[in-house]
Amino acid sequence: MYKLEFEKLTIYEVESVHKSLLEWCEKADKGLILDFGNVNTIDIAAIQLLIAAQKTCEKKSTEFRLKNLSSEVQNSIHIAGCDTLFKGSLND
Amino acid sequence: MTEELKLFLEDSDEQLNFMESALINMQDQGVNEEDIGALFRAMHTIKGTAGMFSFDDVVSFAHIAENLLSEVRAQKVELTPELISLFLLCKDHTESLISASIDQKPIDDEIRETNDRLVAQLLKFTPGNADNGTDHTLFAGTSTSPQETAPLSNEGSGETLWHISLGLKADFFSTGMDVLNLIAFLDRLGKVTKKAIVTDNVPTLEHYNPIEAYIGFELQLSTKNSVAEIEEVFEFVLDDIDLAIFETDDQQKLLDWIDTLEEKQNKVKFLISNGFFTKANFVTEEKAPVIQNPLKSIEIRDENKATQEETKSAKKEQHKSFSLRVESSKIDQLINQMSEMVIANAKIAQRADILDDAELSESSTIMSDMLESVRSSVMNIRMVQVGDSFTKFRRIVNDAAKKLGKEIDFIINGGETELDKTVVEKISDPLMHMLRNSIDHGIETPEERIAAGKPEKGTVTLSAYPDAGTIVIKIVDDGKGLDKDKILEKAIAQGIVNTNQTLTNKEIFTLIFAAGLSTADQVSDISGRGVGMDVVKRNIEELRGTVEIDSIEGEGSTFTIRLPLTLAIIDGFLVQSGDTKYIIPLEMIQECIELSPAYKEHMKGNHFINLRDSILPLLDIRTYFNEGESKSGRENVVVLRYGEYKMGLQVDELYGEFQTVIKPLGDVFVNVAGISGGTILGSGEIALIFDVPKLIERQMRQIN
Repeated sequence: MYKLEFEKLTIYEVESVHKSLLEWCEKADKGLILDFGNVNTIDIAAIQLLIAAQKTCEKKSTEFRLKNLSSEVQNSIHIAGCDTLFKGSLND
Repeated sequence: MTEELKLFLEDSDEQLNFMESALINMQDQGVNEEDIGALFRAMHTIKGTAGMFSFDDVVSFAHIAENLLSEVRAQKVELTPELISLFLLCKDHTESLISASIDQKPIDDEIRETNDRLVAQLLKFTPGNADNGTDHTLFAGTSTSPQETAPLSNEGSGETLWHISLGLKADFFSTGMDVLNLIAFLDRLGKVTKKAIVTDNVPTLEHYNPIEAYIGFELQLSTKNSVAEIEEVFEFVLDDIDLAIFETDDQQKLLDWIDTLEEKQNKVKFLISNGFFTKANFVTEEKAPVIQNPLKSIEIRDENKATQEETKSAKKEQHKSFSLRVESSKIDQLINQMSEMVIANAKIAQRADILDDAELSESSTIMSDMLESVRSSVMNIRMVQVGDSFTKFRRIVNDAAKKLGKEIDFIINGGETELDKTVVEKISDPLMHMLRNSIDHGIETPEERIAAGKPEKGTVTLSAYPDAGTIVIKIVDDGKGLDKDKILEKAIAQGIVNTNQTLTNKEIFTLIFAAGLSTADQVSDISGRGVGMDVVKRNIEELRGTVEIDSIEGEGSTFTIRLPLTLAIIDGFLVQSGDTKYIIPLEMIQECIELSPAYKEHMKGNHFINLRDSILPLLDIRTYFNEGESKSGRENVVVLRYGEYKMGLQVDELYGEFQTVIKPLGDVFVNVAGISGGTILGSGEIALIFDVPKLIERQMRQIN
């Protein structure tokens, strides 16, 4: 499980998160479970990164899940129209 | 501040101005539908744009104000003077909310208090506010999520179902806008009935560039708003997205749009599988399903694409034609470059003259004509009507009059007069100050006026008109006028003038521009502190303008400000005196005459000539500037006019018109009276530009 340390996950943070996720994917063969416990805000750049991560996992046929989503983050995902996209990945 | 925020600030400033002028207009001339409409639209636009930036405080407040305005517009609520005052306060409050939001400052207690008070008042006037279900609690800590806010449009018929396709271009993120806010905002326009994110282009993490945008959205929106209003939501990012908006049942538009796409088949599949359209939507009339034959014909497709793009850009153009915002330094640069070209061309003309080359000379003349027309076009860009900045004075006059318990009719004339934008901006503060002075010191209280046999209401007129290459701005009041003796007394007491000096009326009036002189016995918070009038004069002189006062005790005062039309290039008239060439601004020249022996005889050693039965004072440039002997056989007089004054300049040689680029002479020459700058002639020589107002002023003083 990978825990996101940021409170905000926006265009300013995606670069470093992208790096960490790349490293995670390279060394670990298991799935990617993202813990959103700390995160209270995300923007479209972050959502796009999640989509890329999901695609990567699909390609490797490993698990991809999002955990502990706050209501704000869920709302943002809803506005982005990604409810269905992440449906299988949501873990409540 | 990001570019978008700057645009927002400019836009909201403009809207707030619209709002204010509509309100003031109705205050003066009674309620009318047009102004109510303008007021409503301005508030609506502010709410809309603030929403895009998630300035929730602004949105919530504007929403409540807009609700009441919409009732006013529907004639369910009467717009009373009381309500107009309330909306003026709302305008001010919106302004402070916007600036707080932009500075990302927390809302302080004062603003909060004003907010609560205004909201309470607005709600008092809004019929049925108790049950309209909108959220009035502001600053509650959490921002109101768009989903919870009731959509603006009312339920009922008249709604159209729109399809919106939104593709983010690769560098979309650099706009700093979160597309989520825009989508959320659509929910306020109406109801987003379908929504899907397009992720086909998103790569896996290995090939992912975090600052690049790969996604797009397909949306279905049910709203009463027009396509233009929907497009407005994306106004700030139009260059960074691929946007298509059309009615869902407009099959032709749908097919046209699909035709512009590169991956037609994928898009069609996506739209069908997400339930936006059915297969039937993509079948053309000839029953040839597009889905099976997406590449009908390359040529047709390309043609379509071209026309599509054309119409798209034409549409955008239209959208923006209202005004184009250009950094003023860019225009300054253009003017500078123009100036260099004018000088270079002058060189060519001179060379042609020396070589006696008729063809070259002709080309240079054509060039000169063209340069002149380009010059006037460039200058025109900088010209704005003074009316816009004048109308904002209405509010100041209104407020000041109210505060002082005076009644004032404020009249604006010649608002359509055009003046350089920089000049308009710089003249605004001095004008404001002079207006305040007129209201505070000039106009009497209603009681005093009645006692003096004047109408109860005072009149202040602000007018502008062009006159001989200058723009004149006049402030006329019918107040008590300036008290000459009092001014003189004060000036003597403060040592500004000597007791034994005799001064003309005009000179005494000019004393009020001296620093530290205020005749007001009571210093009010509006004026009377004696700082200000000297600043006013200095500001005007910085613009190469002059200011003059006329006043009749008991009847009123007139302040006349004269400003040059432009600041960089002028039409000049080249003359020579002794060894030096001089430029006279052409617009101030009335005529040139030869100083014939007959005139000289009449002069009898005086510096006046009789020009068609009127006396014309003369200034001999050769003696004034200590020039050498004349090299020309004849003597000439250039007759100048500035305002009501006339004067003749005695010079040796007349050369004719010359496009003059004004160059500053440097600090050393700042205090040379009568010279305002220099210019470079085609030969590389330097010519000095006369400061005509200063020369005339000096001459008049000498005569008096």
